Formats: sequence, structure tokens, C-alpha cells
Amino acid sequence: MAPSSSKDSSSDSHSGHPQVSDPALEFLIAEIVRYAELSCPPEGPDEEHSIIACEMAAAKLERIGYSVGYRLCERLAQTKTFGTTAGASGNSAKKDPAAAVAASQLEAVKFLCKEFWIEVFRKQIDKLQTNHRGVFVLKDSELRWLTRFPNNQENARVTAIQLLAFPCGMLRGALANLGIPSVVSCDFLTDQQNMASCSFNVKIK
Amino acid sequence: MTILCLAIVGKNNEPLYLCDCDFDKENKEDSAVNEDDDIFGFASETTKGAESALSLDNEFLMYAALDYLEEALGIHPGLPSRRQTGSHWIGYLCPMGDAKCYGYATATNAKFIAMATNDVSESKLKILFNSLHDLYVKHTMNPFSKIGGKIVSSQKFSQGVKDAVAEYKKSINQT
Repeated sequence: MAPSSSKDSSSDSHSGHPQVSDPALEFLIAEIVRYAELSCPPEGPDEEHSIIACEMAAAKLERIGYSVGYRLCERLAQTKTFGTTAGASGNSAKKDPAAAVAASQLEAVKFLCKEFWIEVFRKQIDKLQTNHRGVFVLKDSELRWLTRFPNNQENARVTAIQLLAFPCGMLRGALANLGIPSVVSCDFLTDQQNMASCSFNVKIK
Repeated sequence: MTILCLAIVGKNNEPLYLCDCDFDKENKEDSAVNEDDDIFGFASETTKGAESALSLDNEFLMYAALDYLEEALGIHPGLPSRRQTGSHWIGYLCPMGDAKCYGYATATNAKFIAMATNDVSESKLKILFNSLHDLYVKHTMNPFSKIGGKIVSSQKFSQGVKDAVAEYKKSINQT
């Protein structure tokens, strides 16, 4: 997640590519999850309360992710031009306007799958599916932040799902900055061996 | 030849940063903003960080130019977009009295407008816009800045704008 460090090194944000150590980042992410959990303690002893507390922690992580995604997107889109983002470059204006909007959305999501994801996770999204009506499913079979989780443990599963709220928020923030309001949810596609497989459902409002 | 004022406008056309570019004059005259002149309260807020705010006349001119810029971005159906692939530069927007307005729009739809007096050098203006864009990105990357908020209290940002404008004026004078 290189650009997050370029916040401080204002001098050479373009020439040298400042980098962050991978373990340090993973520890930080783990701490953020723990912080979110601790800052939303359950208000009562019931199971219902603890579920609400869990939801609140996830919402908090999602908001942190939103902020990160929004800002990161500004940086990554600095040298980028979206040909059809405005919805009306020469050709597409003549076409159906809805088709032009869909094309610009697809372009933005592709940008997230490639450049954005590479910047954060050093790999592309493995699979992108869309129904061309504003729903995108982004599948990643090996999310870097989840690779260290132990298999077959219920509490690891719970934490992993909570952690996934962060990249969800990042996607939502990045799309918001590109002018596309959306709702992002995630699924945890674990089989018994692989804990790191997950999918993100992006629904454009 | 010289540049009169600058505006940075967000993706929902909210004003983020407005300033007059005659930084040398600012201390001599009307550094205190007359409150009657400033019905929208931009000047009094911008003065905190930027010392020089946009005069009311220029403010209205900037909003007029913003309409032209939006048109050039192709938000109205039927009007072609003037966005070029590989460049954020939009170019000449409209005349404003004896000045001209130029526009620049990022991929995230933040809009930059500059008003300059006639026979302006476009290539140098492009450099100015690029450095403004860089400043804007750096400001956005600051985790303590407010998303979509006005850029008011950032010393670094306003100093950066001043430096960029000074650089532009210098390069103009050299030719």
C-alpha cells in the first residue's frame, strides 16, 4: 500500500516510489480491527447486544476504509483520464445515454480492479462479473490481508469478516470519488483450506 | 499577461478554494474584508488560511466561468465533451471583460479555473494547473483534511499556490 506513505514524503511522491513494509502494514490492519472492536463495546450481556456491537465495529472500519479509498483514489487518478467518464466523448454521446453511463461505470470498476487493487494488494482482482445493470461482483481468491488467518477456526472467521469491511469501504470511497455512489458488501468464500478467498458485491445506486 | 484569480471547485460544484492572485498588493489595501461585500462568507473564511480571498466581483465571474467549464465537460446531452484523452486540460472557456478564463478538470471531476489577462501562454498555464493539481492531491491525501470540505486552514496549501503562481509569473517574464 505504497501511496499511503507518500502522504508524508511530499518531496518525491512521483519519482521515488515510497514503500511500506508488508508485516508492518498487516500488524497495523490487525490493530485497526482490534481498535474498532474495543471502541464499540457491547452495551449489555445479551447476544443481541454483542451482535449490534459487532455491526458497529464493522461500520466503523467501513468508514475508515471509505476515507482511505477516497483519498487514495484521488492520488491514483491523478495521471489518469477516463475517456468516457463524462459520459459524452464524441461517439458515446450519440449512443444511448444509459449505455454511456454503464460504460463509464465499467471503466471505473476496471480501474479499481487493476490499478487500485495492485496499489493496495500488489495483485489484480481475479474475476470481475457484471450484469451490466449496475451490479459488479469482484472476486479475489487470495486477499493478502487474510492469508495469515488459521483455517477452520470460528473466531478467525468472524474476525476475517469484520476485517473485510475495510476493503469494502475502500471500494465504496474510491467509487464515490469517481462520482459513482454505491453500496459494497462482501462475502467470505472460504472452503476448508483457503481462508483468503472473498468476493465484493458492488451495487451502484 | 498576468493571472488574476484562481478557483478550485469540487465534484458537486462546491467551492473548495478561491483566491486572488495579486499577492503583492494584499497587505497594502483592503486586506480587511468588508463584510457587506461578502454575502456568502467565503472571503472571511478563506482569509484565515490564505490571507488573500477572492473579491466578490471575481467570485461571480468565476461562477460564470464554471458554467462554461461544465458545458465543456459535456454534462449537457448533445454538447460534446472537450475532454482529451491523456490530459486534464480543458482550455479556453470564455472571455471576461479584458480577461480570459481557462479550465482544467481532473478525472475525479475536481475543477480548476484560472482567470488571466489577454495573450496568456497556454503551455505555462498548463504547468501551473499541473502543480495546482498536485497540491490538491496532496491536500486530499492528508488524512486530517475533510473530504469534500473547503481548503481553508492549510498554510502549506496556500503557500504552495503562492509559489506556483510566482513560478508562473516568473516564467512569463522570462519570455
